[in-house]
Amino acid sequence: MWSIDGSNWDVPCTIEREAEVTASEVSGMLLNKQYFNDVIGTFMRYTISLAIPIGKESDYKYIYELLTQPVDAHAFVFPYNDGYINLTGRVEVVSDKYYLGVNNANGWRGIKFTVIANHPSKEQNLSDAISRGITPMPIMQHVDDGEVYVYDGGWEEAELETGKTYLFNSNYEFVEAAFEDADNKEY
Amino acid sequence: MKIRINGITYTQIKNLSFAPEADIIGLELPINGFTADIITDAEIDPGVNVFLYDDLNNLWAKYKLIDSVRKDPETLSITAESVLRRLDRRTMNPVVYEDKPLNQILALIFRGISSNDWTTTEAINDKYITGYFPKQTARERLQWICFTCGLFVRSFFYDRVVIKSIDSTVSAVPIEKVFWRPSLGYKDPVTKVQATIYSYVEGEPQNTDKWVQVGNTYYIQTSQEMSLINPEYSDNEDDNVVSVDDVTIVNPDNISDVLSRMATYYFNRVEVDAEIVNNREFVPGDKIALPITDEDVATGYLKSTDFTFGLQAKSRIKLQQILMSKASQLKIVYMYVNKKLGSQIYMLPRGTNYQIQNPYLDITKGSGKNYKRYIYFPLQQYATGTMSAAKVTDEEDYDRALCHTGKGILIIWSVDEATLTTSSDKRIVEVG
Repeated sequence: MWSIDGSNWDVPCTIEREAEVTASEVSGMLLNKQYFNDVIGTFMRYTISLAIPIGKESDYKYIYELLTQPVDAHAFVFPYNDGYINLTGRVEVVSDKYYLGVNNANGWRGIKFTVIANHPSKEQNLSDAISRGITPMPIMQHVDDGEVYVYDGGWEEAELETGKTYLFNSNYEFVEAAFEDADNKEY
Repeated sequence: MKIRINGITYTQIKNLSFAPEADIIGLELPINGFTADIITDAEIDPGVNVFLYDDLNNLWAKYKLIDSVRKDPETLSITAESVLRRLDRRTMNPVVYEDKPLNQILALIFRGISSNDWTTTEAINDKYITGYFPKQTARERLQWICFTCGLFVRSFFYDRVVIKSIDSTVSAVPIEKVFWRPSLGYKDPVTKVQATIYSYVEGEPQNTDKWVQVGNTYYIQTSQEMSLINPEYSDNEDDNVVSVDDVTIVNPDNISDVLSRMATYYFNRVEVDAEIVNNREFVPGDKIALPITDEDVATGYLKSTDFTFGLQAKSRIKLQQILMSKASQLKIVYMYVNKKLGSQIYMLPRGTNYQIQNPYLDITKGSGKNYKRYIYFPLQQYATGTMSAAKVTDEEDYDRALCHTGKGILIIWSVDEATLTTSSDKRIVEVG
């Protein structure tokens, strides 16, 4: 089963998936003849070939019209390993064929479309990428004794004074300026 | 990359163009700025601060928004520039100084601009200006000062414009950060550099005198040309002359330094173009050593960095005032007890002494519940030695700062009097 924009489809179909490990244009060959691969993330691509049974023409028309809506993206749920994956993806081409049969058995058949994810399903962060190259964290190059860094998506320097106490909440956000008497303060 | 304006962070950015420059000879004063398209339906009025950050929240630039144009219902094109643009709009009156402290003159040039937007380095505190400034824009006045005093302006990678001395410390670019393959360019050789020295004495000018007027006071101007000939072109010294004749704060005391800097810069007409991985480590105005082959290294000043952004960033750079050398390989190995944390390879000029800052190392392991993040700090701030052989290996000792699981607070370990207390919902740092 798969779904589009909350509408579930449990019809005969084949589902192909491709995972594209996408690198940015920062990538390239280095002077030491090693390739520098600046991977941004892994983008999924699903290709669906539907085999909607004869007699379900209204379903056929419905899904065709939905897929060919000129919208930026749809919300999809597709099988993924033992479970499912949620994707916001774009549909660029929808194709099918018209069959001329006998006894008025004419009709459109075999919708096929590809969904390209708009967002990576796996991604690495900048800190990991830089640390693999064992380069310094830029903001720490000039670190001095007594400096304290707070993680808030990235490391940020906090200006703390000796002899004082500082409070951070469970989201690790700095919530209180220095106060003198830590013991009497209720958090 | 992300852009913050009026406290709102915009992460959907397209067409970001950021190519900061610095001019070490001081005849130009690049304003620097960036343009970008941000996805928003909100309108943003010019005049406010614009912050450019990377995904680790490192500041790349703090500029002023000078223009915002709606491109389509979802896209706003913005142009931001450093505060140096404001100096263009200010006209300063003529003045004659005698040993006026440079800091005081800079304060006048930046008058009306918040001290949060500009600063100087301590190295310029002992500099003084003697001479005449005509009526000119504040930016041209600053440009003259940079040229005469050997300064340059850094208007990027910091939250304010910095007026600083030309750096003589060399930063080495590791070979694994240099893309295939740097190219050398040659400009027409400069055969002579020339500058005019000016002196001013208060008095009543006679018919034949040249003079300037400041308010109701007249100053008699005397001038004299001085030049340095490129020794390699002494027979045709007038073929290509670079002459600076109108900077009226060049005087007998500073002419020697001025000509020396001009000669060093203009007699050396080799430039290097290269692309490097540059996550903000290499800054225009820096003096850097860049490997250009397996055997050659170019040392020079970084003039420009045109950035391309992916997850990491690379920049197309231009190096000037190049000195070419045969290179040796230096491998610095970062050690924690007997464990190798990593290594970095540099190509450095043979026979030279090196001093390379040991980086803090930020190493993550595992994911989810097993995620661990270790910060290692170097026991010595610099790796130092001499490139005495074709290959040199240098082991640098590290110690672990704070190993930390998941998000939280990082305390640099050298704050040994600090303690960290954690509980299920609080993080408390006590310092001292």
